[in-house]
Amino acid sequence: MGRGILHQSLNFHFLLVKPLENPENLNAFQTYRQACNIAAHTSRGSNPDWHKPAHEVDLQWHLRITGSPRVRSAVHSLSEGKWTNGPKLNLPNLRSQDAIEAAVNDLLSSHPNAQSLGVVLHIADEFATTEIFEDFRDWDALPELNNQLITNPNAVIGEDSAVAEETSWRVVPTPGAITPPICTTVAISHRYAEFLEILRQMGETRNFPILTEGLSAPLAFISVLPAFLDFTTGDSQLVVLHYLKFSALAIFSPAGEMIKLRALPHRGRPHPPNLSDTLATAIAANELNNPRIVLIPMTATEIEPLVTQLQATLDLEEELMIDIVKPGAEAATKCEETRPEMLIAQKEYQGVELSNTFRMLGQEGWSMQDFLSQPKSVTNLQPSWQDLKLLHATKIAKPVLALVAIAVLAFALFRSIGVMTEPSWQHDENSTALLQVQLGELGRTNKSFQHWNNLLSNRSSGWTTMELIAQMFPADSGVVIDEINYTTRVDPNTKSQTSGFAREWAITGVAQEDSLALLQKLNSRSGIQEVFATIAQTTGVNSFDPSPETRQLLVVVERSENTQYDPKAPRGTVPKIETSPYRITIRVTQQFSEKDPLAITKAPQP
Amino acid sequence: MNNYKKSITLFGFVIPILLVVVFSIICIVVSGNIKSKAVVRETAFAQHNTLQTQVTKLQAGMREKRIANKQWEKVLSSDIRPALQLNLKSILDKYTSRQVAQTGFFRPATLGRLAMGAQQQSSSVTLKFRGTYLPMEKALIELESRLPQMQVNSFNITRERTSDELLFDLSYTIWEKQDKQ
Repeated sequence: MGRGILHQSLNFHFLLVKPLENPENLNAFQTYRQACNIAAHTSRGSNPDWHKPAHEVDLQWHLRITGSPRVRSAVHSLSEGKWTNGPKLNLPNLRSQDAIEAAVNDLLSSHPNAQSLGVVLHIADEFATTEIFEDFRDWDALPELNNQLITNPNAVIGEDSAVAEETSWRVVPTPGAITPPICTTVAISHRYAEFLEILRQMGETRNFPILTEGLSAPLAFISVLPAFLDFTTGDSQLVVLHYLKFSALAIFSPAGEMIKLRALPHRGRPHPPNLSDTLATAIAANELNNPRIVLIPMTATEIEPLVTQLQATLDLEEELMIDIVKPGAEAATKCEETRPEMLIAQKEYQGVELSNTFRMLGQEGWSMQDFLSQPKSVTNLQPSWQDLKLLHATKIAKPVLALVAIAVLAFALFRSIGVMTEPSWQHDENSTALLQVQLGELGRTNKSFQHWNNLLSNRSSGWTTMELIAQMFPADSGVVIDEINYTTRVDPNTKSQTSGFAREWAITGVAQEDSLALLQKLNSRSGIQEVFATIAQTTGVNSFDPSPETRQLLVVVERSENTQYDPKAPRGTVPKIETSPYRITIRVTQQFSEKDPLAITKAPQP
Repeated sequence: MNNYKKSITLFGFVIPILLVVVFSIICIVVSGNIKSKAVVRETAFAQHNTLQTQVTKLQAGMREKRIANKQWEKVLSSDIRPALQLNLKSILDKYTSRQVAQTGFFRPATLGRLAMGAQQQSSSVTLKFRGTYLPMEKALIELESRLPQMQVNSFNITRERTSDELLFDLSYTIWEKQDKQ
């Protein structure tokens, strides 16, 4: 598979209809849609393993490449703490997609419950160190420096872009360094990037997380070195990790801090050339007193000839002891395919408490740096686990918000329907206007009626006066009336809206003796009231009703001798002046207060 | 904050929350408007009911009042003289001159006593008759029933010295309808 084809496939997710676009090139809505598509069509939103490094997932496939055709392959179950032999692969197989797919199928078939697969490639066929930061001494800036090396190596190293594309640089701290720099730079080529990309694409195709890491095998081994070497003796140590194509020299202070890390390429030979000089220079340059030299064969290459050569050529004042430590992982893992570097998967071998060096390499992860990581331009295409968790939260939030909206709508509808079903809502304002017109018309009619009804009431009429006289003095009463004088008067000087009034009857005449009883009766309040009540009853004229408290009825009967009386005058059936011994004057006064219903209105015509 | 987080926050939280807030505000405002309208309508409805009660109350007996008003409209006028003379003539025609005879008709310029203090337009009339008691009473019943706007200010009845006939001297206040301009 060519590199161009490989990069095109990086941008395509097999389960998505459209290839992924860099979110920086999309608008906000397109970015959101892309995140939703990823969450809907892949397991990235539900399986957190997609977002972990390979050495943190439960099922790990560790491969070590030393340059020989044989590739060591072991499988580690993190939860069970078990190691088993991995699928068999040789070096040419790493370029065969079919062979890789067959190996992955074989591995996953024996672990059917696996949620993911972490592939950790221990690269032990190349190791180069450079001293490019000669004056660097700022510990706090170390992570930032490493980050710059990963994201923009050209800017830091200053080499041409072709080299930068084919090589990865990573900083390795050396806390034991007496003088700057405080770190070494390790470089590894991208020759196995294609193998790891094939694995990642298989994961994308299967919607199954296959995570990859390309580790530097010497770095990985140094972080588990305390499992094989004693760092508590107080001796400085020069540790030579002997691989097939190179050796790595790590110089440790008596406190167990790494002073320097250096690659010693074999240059086609079985051992590093001039190792004696290199060691002697290192001891002198670092002012090591009586250091211990440890040779560690990391492959099956015979190392005894090198020891013999060293003992013969190493020219030092003190006699140095050269130890050979053969690291074996099989005893710990019970798996013949495991190599010492693979023990990095188990934290208990990292010896982080021994010194800053092992704490930084193990706990802070400097030894597990991925030299073959995907470029940021590719990893940025995918949303992070936090992004997808946030997206998941929105899926919960949206129904909650919808419920809130429905509740508000229901409240509003309930409130509105409640008032809209009231009779008042159906009320037509025009009917009120019509009613007001009707009321106005009725009011005017009523006012007019009240006005004219008041004025036209029978409060003073001629015929009732004549009826009153007839009622007071029947034909056989023995009274002869000479004159009747009826008058009215009004008292307008009141603040009331109506005027009280009075009417008076002045009756003069003569009376015979047999009329005295009648006159006596009329001269009493009850007598005159009886007469008025009778008039009111017989005529239906209410003004004669004496009962209301707003009315007052007074009567005065005066009797005197009739000077024209002639006792000898003949008496007929009809009484005459000459036959009547008395002259009488009767004054009847009826007063109506302004509160009486018959009081006269002062209001103008409506 | 990366682009994914920004877009998810925007379209997953901010915009939906804004939409719900806007939707809620619209719902509350609309229902609030309806409620306010309902309060106005309730007030109008209560006013309508009050008016209806007043109308119903006024309408009771209004038919009779309208009839009375109409009848009064017929007899009320700004000048009583033609109607009075017409009615007097028709009434007196029913009686002989010995029973009731009109002897005088005056129209004083002064107001009648009963009109004192009243703002209603009125005039006064003095009528004199000669006759007997009962026919005069009947004639007055008819006259005062036909023209109820005539209210007696004073009424004097005396005897004719030379005969048995009686002299009737009546002074009336007559309420007059004021023509609207």
